[in-house]
Amino acid sequence: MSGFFAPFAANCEAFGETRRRGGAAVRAPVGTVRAVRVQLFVTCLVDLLYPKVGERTVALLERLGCDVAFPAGQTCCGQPALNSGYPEQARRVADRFLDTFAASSDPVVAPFGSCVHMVRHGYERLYADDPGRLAVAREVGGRTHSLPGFVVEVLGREEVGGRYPGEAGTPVAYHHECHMLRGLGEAAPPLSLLGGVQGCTLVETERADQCCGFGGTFALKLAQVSTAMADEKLDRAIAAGARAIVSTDVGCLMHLDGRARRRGLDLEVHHLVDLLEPEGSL
Amino acid sequence: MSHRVLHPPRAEPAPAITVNLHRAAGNWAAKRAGARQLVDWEAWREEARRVRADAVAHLPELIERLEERVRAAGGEVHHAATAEEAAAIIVGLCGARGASSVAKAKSMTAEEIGLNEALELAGVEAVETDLGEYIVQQLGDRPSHILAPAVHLSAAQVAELFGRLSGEAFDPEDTAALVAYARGVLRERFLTADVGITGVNMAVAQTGSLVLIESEGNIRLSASLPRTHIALMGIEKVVRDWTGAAHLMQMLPLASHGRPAAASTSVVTGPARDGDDGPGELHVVLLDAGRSAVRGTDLEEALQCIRCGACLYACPVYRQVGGHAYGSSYSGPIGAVITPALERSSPETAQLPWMSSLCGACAEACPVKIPLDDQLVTLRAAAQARDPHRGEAALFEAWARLWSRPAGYRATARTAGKALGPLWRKAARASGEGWTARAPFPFDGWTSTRDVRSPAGEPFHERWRKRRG
Amino acid sequence: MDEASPPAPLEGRAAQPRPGLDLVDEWRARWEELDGRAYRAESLEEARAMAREMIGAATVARWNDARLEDIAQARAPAPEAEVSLLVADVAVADTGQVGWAHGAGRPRGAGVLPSRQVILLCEDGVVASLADALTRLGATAAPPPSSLVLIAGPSRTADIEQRVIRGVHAPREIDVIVYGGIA
Repeated sequence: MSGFFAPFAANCEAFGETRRRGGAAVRAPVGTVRAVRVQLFVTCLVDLLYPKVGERTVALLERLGCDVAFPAGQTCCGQPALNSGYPEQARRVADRFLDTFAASSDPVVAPFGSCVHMVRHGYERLYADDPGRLAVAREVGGRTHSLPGFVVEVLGREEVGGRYPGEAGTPVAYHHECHMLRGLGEAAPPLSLLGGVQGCTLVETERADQCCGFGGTFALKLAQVSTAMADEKLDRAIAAGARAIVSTDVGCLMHLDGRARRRGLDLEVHHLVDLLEPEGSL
Repeated sequence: MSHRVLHPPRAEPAPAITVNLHRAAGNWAAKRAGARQLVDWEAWREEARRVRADAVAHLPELIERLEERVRAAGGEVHHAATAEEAAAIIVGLCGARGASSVAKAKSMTAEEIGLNEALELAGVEAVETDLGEYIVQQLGDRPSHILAPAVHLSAAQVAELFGRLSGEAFDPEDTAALVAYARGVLRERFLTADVGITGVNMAVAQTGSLVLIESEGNIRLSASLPRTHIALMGIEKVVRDWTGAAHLMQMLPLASHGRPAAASTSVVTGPARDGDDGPGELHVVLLDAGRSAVRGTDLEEALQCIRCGACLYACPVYRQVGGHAYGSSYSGPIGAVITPALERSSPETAQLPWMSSLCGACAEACPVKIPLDDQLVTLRAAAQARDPHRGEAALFEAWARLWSRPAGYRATARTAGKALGPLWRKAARASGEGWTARAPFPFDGWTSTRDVRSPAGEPFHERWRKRRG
Repeated sequence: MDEASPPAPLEGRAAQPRPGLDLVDEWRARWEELDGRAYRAESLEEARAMAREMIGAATVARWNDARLEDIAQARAPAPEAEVSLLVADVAVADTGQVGWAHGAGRPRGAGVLPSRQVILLCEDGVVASLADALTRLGATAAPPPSSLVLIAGPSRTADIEQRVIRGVHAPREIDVIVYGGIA
């Protein structure tokens, strides 16, 4: 994982164009090598199950000229409890998130759109009865971004290069993470970044916007329905000729990969950031 | 249990039904894409939402105006506080007219109040005249979609049924012959029925008019040929004026079928007059049955629903399990919301809000912008608060205690990665690097059909601390 | 609303206007998309002649309207008639709909029971939006006519395996003849 340890300056590209819309104002003059400070919210599932996705996120942000901080107090956004019917428990964990990321006014970036949606949208509901806390949640939520959203819309980088970490020419299906697509309205940023990746071709699948059946505790509570939904997703990808599925939600990735492995399918599953490493760095 | 709720939801895919539903949903998705080219969809949704929200916000005053205008046009108005009252009113109206035969046009509200059962008990023969409803009724089955009651059935099942009813053989591939058979049988019914019973898509308070929207023409016949027309509507179907109604009259078919007009739209104001040869009597039955109680709660927006069926086709869970799995007269995402909302305290409905992966496709499809996914989350919390699942509640309580503190969170990670790791690996059957094929409780539900990621030996925060911290 | 007040006009155009088409052509394009058939006639007389040819010897249930007299050779009660013959009041360019009010001499059964339908429509009745049509039909009057109908092509069902079949309970084939001075 060379990028993760590389000194900041060596990997730094000049940070030029600014954001086009949304997000916090982070403008740097063209040509100067000045770091944009960001706070990484790695998210619990990435932290505990996919730590390399976290490392590649740091590597990408640093390559794009960001100065990445990792606030040590972070845990989880609280979404699992809210969606399972435990708003009080969710609020206690969300409090921790806000305490951690309100301490600095730097933008917050997460490699997991669903958690960003929780912060921006779920907290509105969680703190509806607490105007003081709601104001903090809105302030932090306004500068909390998905990784593709931040790179494309805030940094203004429509493509960042990258190489598919497998056989050259692999046909890839993109799976839209529900909460990033419908919750954040970010259909374009991940596809934009995927457009700059060498070594794979994007194939169109039927109903690419459809849920894969993960849904957090839904996958445990309605395991059979959840599995049938994963099968539909996998079968459509295969029918379209895909040999790999790429997404930004490690919940979806674990669900689809876990099902593909159980079925013995010849299908690789990757987080988008796995494809955004420069050639030879994997 | 009320008529609205028949059994607790079933969380199993129904492969035979899924094939039909996928086809239907695919057709719907293609039509929806077409609709978005026809109109400025987001602006139209917002306007439709505004019209419906206005109606819900001013419901008592609009219902009062509607009643006054219906009466002024010569119609009669009946108020039913409960489903049972509504059914009793309609049975009474039929009985007082000595009706032996009733032509019934598809109405989910009639399904909600168990009208067919009530009429049958009273010895009144009520024949469903919508083709799908007719099929479902003759099979002794129930509708599985708001707009397409028989979407769960195959043509072969229909051909078999019609063969049994007629004594003649039908080719399942000859759909036209199947339709022609039903048309012939039902035509007799229309001509002889004493009473026609319909639902209502919207009622316009401004003039006391009822708007009936359909594809087949059976609603128009049911509201035209019998001497008495009974229209059953939930009180929330009222709209303030014709400007709003005109918008919804286009929005409903756009959301359902991707076209701005359904094959047939009837506007009924009072009984026949001025030389019109229609029914001499019009009775409007206004059903509350829990609706007023939903106003002012955080589920109020569910009353905006115009029953277009879009959220059903959009929902990937509905497409896997079919409408019957919900166990209630309203199925799909809107059913999972309004059934528990209207029933408030029924244990059978407490599970309904879990019939969703919260993917948001329902809310996105909704032409009146009901935040269905948010409401499902609200209902989950209400269900847990009312009837807590002790084990799960204890788990989330422990989770909150640990994960609201960084030290607790890191301790969990260490336990999962190190202490639990060996145990996990012992119970587990390895499945490639970092994957496990058989996980211990409470993740065994996952691994019954899927491999699962093993907890990382060294989580990200550990790596960062060692190398950067 | 006062008893005496005239119908208030409704506002709002639905679909994007189609460039280069007049209202009649816009309506016709949408009506044909809905599997309806449409014809244009220079005059009422020409429209009547076209209707006469379409109907031939078929039995007809019709409204009592001078414009419909002496078109059909044979009349029959609505439940037995082969063709329904009537005069529509409006057509909607935005939606492709054709609409009318029932009333004296305009019975409902004759408008819906036969499986074929021939409709005469004066070009002046073609309006841009559904809101315009509702106003024209008197929906906003106090009170409106007891029965208004708007159709969009033949009746149809997709209840059996999503296969679209035209003509369920209402007409299966509908011919609309638009007449009037053509510029």
